[in-house]
Amino acid sequence: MKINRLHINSFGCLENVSLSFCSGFHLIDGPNESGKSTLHAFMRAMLFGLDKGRTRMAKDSGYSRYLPWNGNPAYGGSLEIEDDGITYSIYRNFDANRSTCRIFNETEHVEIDYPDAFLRGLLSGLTQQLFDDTLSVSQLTAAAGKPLTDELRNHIVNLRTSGASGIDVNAAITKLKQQKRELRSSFSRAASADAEELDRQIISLQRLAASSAIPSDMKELESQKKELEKLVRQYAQRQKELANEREKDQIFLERHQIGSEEQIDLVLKETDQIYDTLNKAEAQAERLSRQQTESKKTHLPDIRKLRKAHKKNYGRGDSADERQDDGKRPDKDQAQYIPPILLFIAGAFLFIFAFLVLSHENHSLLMAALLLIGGFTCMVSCCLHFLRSSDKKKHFNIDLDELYAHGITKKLLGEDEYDDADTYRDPDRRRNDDMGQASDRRRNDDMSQASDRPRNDDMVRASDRPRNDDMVRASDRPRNDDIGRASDWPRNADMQKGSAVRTNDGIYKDADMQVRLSAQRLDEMYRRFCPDGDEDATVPRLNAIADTMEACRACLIRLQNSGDAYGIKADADSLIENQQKLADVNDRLERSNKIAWQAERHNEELRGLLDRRDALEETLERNKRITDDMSAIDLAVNILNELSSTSFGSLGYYLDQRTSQIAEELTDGRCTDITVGADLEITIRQDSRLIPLSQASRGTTEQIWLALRLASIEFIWPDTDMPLFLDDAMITYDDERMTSTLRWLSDNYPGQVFIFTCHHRERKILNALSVPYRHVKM
Amino acid sequence: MIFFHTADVHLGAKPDSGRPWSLEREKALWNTFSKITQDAGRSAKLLLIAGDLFHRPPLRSELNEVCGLFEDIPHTHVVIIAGNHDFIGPGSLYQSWKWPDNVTMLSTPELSSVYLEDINTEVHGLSYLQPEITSSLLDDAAAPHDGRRHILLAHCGDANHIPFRPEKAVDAGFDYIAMGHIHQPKRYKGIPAAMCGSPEPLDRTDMGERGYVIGDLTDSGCSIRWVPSATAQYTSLTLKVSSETTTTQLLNHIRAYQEKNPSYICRLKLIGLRRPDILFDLDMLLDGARITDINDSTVPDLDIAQLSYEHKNDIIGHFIKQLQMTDISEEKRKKAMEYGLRALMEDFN
Repeated sequence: MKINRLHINSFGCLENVSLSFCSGFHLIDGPNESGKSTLHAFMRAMLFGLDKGRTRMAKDSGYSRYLPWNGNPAYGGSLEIEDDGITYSIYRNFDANRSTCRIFNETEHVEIDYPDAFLRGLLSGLTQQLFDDTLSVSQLTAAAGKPLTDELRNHIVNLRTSGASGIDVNAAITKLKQQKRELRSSFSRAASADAEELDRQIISLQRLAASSAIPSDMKELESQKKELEKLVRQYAQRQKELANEREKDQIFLERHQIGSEEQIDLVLKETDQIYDTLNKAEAQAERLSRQQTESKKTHLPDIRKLRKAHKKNYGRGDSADERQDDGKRPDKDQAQYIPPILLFIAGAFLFIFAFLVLSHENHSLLMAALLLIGGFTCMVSCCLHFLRSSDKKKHFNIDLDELYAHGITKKLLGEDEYDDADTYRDPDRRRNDDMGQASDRRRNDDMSQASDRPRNDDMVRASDRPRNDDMVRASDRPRNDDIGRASDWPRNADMQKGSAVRTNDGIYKDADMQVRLSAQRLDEMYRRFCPDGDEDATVPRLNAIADTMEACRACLIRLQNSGDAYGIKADADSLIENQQKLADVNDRLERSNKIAWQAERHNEELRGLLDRRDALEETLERNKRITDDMSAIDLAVNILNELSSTSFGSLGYYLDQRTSQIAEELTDGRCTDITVGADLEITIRQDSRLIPLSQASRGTTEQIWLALRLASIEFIWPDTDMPLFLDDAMITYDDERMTSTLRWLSDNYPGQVFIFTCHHRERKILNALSVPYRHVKM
Repeated sequence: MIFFHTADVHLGAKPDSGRPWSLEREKALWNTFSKITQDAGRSAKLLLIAGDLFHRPPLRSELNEVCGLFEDIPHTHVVIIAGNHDFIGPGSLYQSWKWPDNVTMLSTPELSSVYLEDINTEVHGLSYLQPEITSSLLDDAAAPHDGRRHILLAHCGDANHIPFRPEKAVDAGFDYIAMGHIHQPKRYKGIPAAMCGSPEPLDRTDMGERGYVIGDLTDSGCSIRWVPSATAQYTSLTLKVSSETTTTQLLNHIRAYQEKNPSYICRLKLIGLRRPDILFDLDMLLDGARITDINDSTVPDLDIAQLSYEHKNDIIGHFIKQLQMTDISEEKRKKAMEYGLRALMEDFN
């Protein structure tokens, strides 16, 4: 690239300056403040623009520094450059409000679109920083900094073989690394960690589950348990039933008031006695009944005579021939009441007639009086008649049977027991006497029997214990119809005595009562000892009582049996045995259940872990994608790094070599072995010593840095002649170094060299070296 | 005699775990199986379950649930074997479980059978006691000639799970061979045998329809038909993109497709050329539709060969060349190429 000419409209102290240039050296000299550096800055600004600055240092920015001193708004100018045979004119206006950049292709007479991008391409990616670090050497700034490294790296990598410019490898690598960071931030470390932990737990639990197997005999144990439980229930039920049997026997005995076999024997004995008595009484009653019937037929006339005699002596009474067939009294008894009733009615009528007569107007007092007297008389007569009849009844209302009995007795036995008129007249008195005797006798008999009754409280309930008095009273209580009068009759004992006072009829009645009493007694015993028996049953009471007693005896035998009559003990042994077996089975089953429960818990826990693990799959898949992408990015970065380092590696070698070479020439052989590190640390090998450049003299340092720049320029622009700007760059050189430097530049540097100086040494040396140059006087 | 044949129900599984429709799929497994048992109760005398009724060794609650279903069909015999997923391991409840009266589990590791007198049918089978069985335990299985119908219930089909080919059992005397393990249904021509497949798909690898078999054993032989039962279906959806396609456009297209086919759960594949500076947001697609996974086979609209030629002397060309020479998987190469070129060319253009 060659700078042909420039025109400064207004730039710093320079205004309306036009300069043209040629190939080779250009010596721009002038006193201080003449604008040399300003010219240098203008050239830079035309190539790269002016940094207006947005920071606090804005006032130190190029824009501010080179504002036209005269305030000319035409802050800018033009620069004509030539590259590859084509001439371009660059027009810039740096004014903040009218900042423009226009490039014209003077060769083809076209304006370039996108001038900034074009310029960058034209300059092969040369940035201002790289320009400052390579082509533009200012006073005491020869040493290149870090940016040179990156810029060099980029340019070298991209331009090593004249490739495309504008690719910022570092930026690409940085971008890739940023993408990787973003991917990493979305990577779920927790999911991966959780998955690992879950996998570990799953394996552990699977091992544990495998070792805690569900016992295989559980079904069999369950079956055994059911069988044994059934057996135990059966035995327990049987025990209950057997116990109930025993209790039933006890209750049976209590209910029947039996406590011992002796009692049973007594009851049976009494029952037999009653039955004997009953049989005998029944037989006798039957016999007497037959006799009575025959006697009645035989002695009926005598009875009639007797009745007449009674009538005669005591008035009206019942006559035997007047008794009706049903035994009821004839209507005669009621007929005696008819006269008084008629008298009453007559009297009533007479009274009524009397009142009727009196009420008539022409009544006769005599008639009325007679009627009244007649009515009064009838009423009085009626009353008298009633009084006389009841009297007679008391004395004459005798039963035919009684009359018959009296007559028959007297007739048959020939003894006149009824001479005792009082007794005869007061039958009630006789009844009471007999009742007293009979009641005494009964009481004694029952008392003796009562003493035999078991007093065992366990056996006999109080409610069932016979109430002696009640029993006695009940048994002796006369029945109104039959027994009431029958109680007047002599008792069996009296009959057995053959007492003369007993008539045949009386004997019959005694026997009948005996039958009844015996039957009653038997019934009582039946009810007592067969309380569950049917009252209306036709089963003979004796058999029923006997059966009951035998049942009681059997109960007693069972209860008193010291052995296991009920089988309770045998059953209890079986029950205990089976209960023990059941307990064993339950123990085993419990152990098995516990193991099974644990195995089940493990299974459930394992299931939960597996489900959680499955749920992580999606996240893990996503993580995998991220991992793959990150890996791809790493690969891309590595390749880019490798490519760039390879290039830079070769650059390093080249820089070492070329810088050493140039430095040797610049220093006339004093510095021959230069090592340039990755960060451009320069080391000088001098007499087998490695000396850091920082320890060298200022002049040497500047020379070596210049050598480095020159070597880099060659590397970066191997095929392009780039202009070199030395702005008081050799101020620290002595004449010798300056000479060698200028000589080298003259011999080796193909491009334009712009030397800005306020001294004259450069001109002298150039003259001495016969180096052609254009002199620009500022 | 009408019978139902199913297998690989995998009750308890959680298909597509973590995805929004996972719970719905989990319930669908139970609902479909319940429907099958109810249908069997109405019309069949026998329900055969050829293994993997459960996804894992079952829990008590799961067994209770299933027993409830079986108790509702007391007039239908149910015969079960354990498969490689619900194998009868040391902690399996299968060991001690009391099944309803109409259910028989052939739980031994060697071939055993149960005779169902009322239907004159004997069902033979064996259960897994560990996750894999590599022995060909069924090759020698044969049915006796005793006037009964014989059915072989088998969970088999690949090298690690009782290798068995029903073609070899043609002369074994079985009236029907009810197979399970492979989720894809398959019928064997000329042989009374079938792989009924799973009644519901379990994951994205279970593509296509799913169902069970209904058969009829008569004196003249066995006839079967396959009945679809699945309420969802995994399908493959391939979309071709262009340089104008965006992620949102893709998502809208997928949603429209699934609205027309609401039972579909898609495996998405993207092909075509896209803008070099665009990467499709795969997470957005996964979260926005019923998509199980995405295979992004799109490539940036770059002619790599042309690019390599044009940039043969600069870093881009060298990068392409270096990457093409690196021994890595094609997938990784493609990704690295894309990332690298996008980074290098972002400012370049």
